[in-house]
Amino acid sequence: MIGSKIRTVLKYVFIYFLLILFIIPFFLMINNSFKTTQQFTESPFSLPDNIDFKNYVDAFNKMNFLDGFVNSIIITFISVALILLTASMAAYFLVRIKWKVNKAIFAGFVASMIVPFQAVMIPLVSIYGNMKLLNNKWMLIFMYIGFGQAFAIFIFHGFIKNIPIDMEEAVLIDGGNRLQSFFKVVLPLLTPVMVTVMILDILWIWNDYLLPSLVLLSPVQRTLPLSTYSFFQTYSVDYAPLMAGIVMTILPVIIAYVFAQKRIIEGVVQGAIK
Amino acid sequence: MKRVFMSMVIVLVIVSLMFTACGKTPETAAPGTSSSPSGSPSTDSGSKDKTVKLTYFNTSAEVNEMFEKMFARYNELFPNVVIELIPTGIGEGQQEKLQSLFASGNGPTFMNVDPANVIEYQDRLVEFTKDNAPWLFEYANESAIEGGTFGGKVLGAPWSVQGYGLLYNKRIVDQVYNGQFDPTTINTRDALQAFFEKIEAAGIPATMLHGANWSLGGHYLTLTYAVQGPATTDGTGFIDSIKAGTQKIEDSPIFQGYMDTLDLLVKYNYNKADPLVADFNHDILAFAQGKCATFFMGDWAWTSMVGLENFDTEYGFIPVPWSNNPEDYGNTEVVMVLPKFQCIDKSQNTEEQYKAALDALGWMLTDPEGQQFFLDAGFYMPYKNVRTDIKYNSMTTSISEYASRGKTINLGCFSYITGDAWTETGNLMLKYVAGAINRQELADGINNYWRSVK
Amino acid sequence: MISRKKSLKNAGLFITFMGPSLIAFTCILVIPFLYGVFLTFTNYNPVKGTKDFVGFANFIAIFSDKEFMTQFLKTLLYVFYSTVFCNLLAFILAYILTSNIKTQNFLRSGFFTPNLIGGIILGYIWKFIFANVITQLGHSWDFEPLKTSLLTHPDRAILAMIIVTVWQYAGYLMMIYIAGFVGIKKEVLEAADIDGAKGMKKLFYITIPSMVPSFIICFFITISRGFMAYDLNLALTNGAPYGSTRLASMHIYQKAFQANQYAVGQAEAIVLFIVVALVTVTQVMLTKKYEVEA
Repeated sequence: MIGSKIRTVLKYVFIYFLLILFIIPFFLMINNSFKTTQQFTESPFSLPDNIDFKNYVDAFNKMNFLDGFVNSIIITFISVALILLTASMAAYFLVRIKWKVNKAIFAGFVASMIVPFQAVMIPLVSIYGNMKLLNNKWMLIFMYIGFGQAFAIFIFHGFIKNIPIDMEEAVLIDGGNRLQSFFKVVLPLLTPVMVTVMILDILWIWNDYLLPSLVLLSPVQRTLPLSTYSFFQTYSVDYAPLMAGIVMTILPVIIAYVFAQKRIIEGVVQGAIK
Repeated sequence: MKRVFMSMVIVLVIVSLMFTACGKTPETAAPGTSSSPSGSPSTDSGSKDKTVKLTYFNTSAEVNEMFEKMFARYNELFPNVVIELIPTGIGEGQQEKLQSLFASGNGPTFMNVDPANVIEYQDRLVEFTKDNAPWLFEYANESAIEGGTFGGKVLGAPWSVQGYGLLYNKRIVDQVYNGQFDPTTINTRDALQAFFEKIEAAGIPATMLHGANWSLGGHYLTLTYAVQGPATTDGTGFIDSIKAGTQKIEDSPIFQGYMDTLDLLVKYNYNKADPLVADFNHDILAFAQGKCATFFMGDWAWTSMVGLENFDTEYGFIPVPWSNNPEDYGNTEVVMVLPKFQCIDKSQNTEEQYKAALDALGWMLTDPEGQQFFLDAGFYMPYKNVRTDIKYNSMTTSISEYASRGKTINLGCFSYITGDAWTETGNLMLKYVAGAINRQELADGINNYWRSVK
Repeated sequence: MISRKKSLKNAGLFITFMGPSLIAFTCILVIPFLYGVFLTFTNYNPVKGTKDFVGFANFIAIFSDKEFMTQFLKTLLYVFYSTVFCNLLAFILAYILTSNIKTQNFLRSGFFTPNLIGGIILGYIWKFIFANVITQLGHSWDFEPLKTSLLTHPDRAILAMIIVTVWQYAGYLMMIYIAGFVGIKKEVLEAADIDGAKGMKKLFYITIPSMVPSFIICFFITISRGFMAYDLNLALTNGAPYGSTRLASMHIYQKAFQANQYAVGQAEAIVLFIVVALVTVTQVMLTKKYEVEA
């Protein structure tokens, strides 16, 4: 009994020690978002003299925060929702329908995940740029759907394989079609992994810099990460307002995460019981 | 078997449908060549009151805001011209971004770029002539127009003059010299050494090197080319002979001299313990607070100091002497350079667009209101009609004093340092500064680099 | 299972389920990729606008690019170590955080925070930490190895890259491992308990084998991301000190955009793709063997 208690204590010490290492940069960011760049350079760990939201106000104005926020919300949510829907359906088809070509298609998706982005970047902008389709957030959403397929399908594929086929057969025998069996049986079972993919995709798209910078050229369409450009100088970075800008950029994601957390946990547990 | 065959057919049909759905085949998607201005949305050139949209690409990231304000003001004055700033990407993404813009047929109407870019993109650019840009020839300094001339054509409109050398903190140096310091006395390497020793004796680190490849490769090493002679061709000719293999850089006394001086700088370097950290904020702060007496840097350092608290404001430049003969070119001069040029694209923009860009550029560079934006940001403009009652910061003032005495090094060969030149040779310089290679290995590396460039 | 009469219905099924996904995928990835492959046989240059057929010249040029070869080896080293440590840490974290530990939700979120910030910004923050924070600690503790920044030593800078990679991806992979742990059926574990399997034995004989799908995914992610690491490389070291930490992707990028040899860079990217494909396919094949069918 004592042995196991010591082990429990050790476990807690270990995990909390690691946690501190993991959140230090995050702490540095919030802490220094209340200081000047100079104070940050001189003593990054010192606490701010007083809680002054000057950096936040500066960043809010410089970034044109509200416009960027609306653009980011539209692009992220539509893209992620469509990635989840299209990829889960495709993964279902690839697992359940045993055509030989499906193996090749799946291999194609997996292989695409190792294509370096730099290898498709210029061809991509050159094809769509010359078709006059750039500078358009719907095009960007379409691109995210395209780039998001492989990873989501790859993950869904593994999980759908683990869903026993007899659960679906009940629906199919009752005269239901594949669509019904997908939406009624498979999709609910996929909830936990859907949530995982959703979080990862939201973070990817919400924070992405390179792709929107290539596609969205006009200022009114800028997403939040694009709006932080004004803090980057040629030789250095203006850390103080940048930190405030980043905190504001990721705050909506954190809030969404906290609110969704209860449902996320429920989803994970339900998925596990079934 | 039939099932497999059927599915193959279906896939083929769908794939081919998708190809057609995606429209053009890749082959036709090439960027327009220099002669066809077809790349941008066709604006109805007939109606004059229609809004013209111009795009502007800026590689001077620290003044994005200045350009944005300038364009907003221009739009107030000329409501039918809208200029959109395309800011540069983070860090080194500038070249990538510019190339992606041209690859996608969205080349910016006009842009602020490095001299090396002007050479690379020359086939796409509008030539400035007395007809299309009379303001340039009327107001710009002749030497600045010459600087913007590439292959006999004026392709770049100059807008700022910057200089570099050994910056010194007047407060610190005056403290050591009891206010008796005369920067013109530092005209030989021995004099520099005596100066450093005197400062070190007072317990202050004498100098600082910023351990980044752009500073040591782009700026310091370039001195060894530029000081070959006062004409641009002296420097470029020297590089050409290294490329051809007829000249080895180590055989140049100027190279050897500058490396001897570099050894001196390395010896007294404030960042000696860890010379390659290259944290610009950190180095600027240390210099601005007088933690070291001198800094091999340029007057752009001022822009980064403005936001600091409790910093010194009085600075001056001293040359970086490479020999012990005060008569040698380079020992009493500091570098003066046109670091960026304004260029206009004709390859992917309509005539209407680039003409509007010419007008806008004329306003920005020669109208008092346009010039004021640059002056407020602390830029020294090479134009004759700039108001003379401006008080510049101490760094820019020092550079202009050298210029008025004719004591400047012509860095014309800087535009030859294209592509990855300063990255590659700069990395060799960093190795040398860190003691990882000796001088002969450094020289071999530089020779090999230039020979590999076509 | 499927009769011939159903062929037509199957076509409809294919279009419904696969259509949107395949269209987006083909337009965004397949076509640009093929176009990119086509470009490697030309002297394409976005600056000059040239695009003439040059055969295999760009691929031949790779072999004279000695630096690409050495940097490739360095990339292999980086990928190996970051894969091992990322997965090890992520697995341990997931194991502890599914063992009925109190505040597990708080902890899960905590370990996930590195992923809330994008790669480029992370790189800048860590660069600052290595150069300023750790050296300050080194001086106050008078501990010699910490006095100089990890990033200024050619051998240690790659270690800094690995540290940040592990820090960044451990929480990400942890999520996938947690899903794997939770996904193991209670009955399986209960059966194991009844059979008397305990502790390490249960972990190695029951838990790990049933988590093979998670391992496949996580190894695949770390290996492929490792080979393609670019954002972090750019922001954290930018190749410093003196080009010693330029990984393959960064080399390709500089070749294409700074040395203005776009087509050679593109050819190198294709070569990199083929190598990574071989490595990851081997990995998936090897691990698939251990997969237990549900």
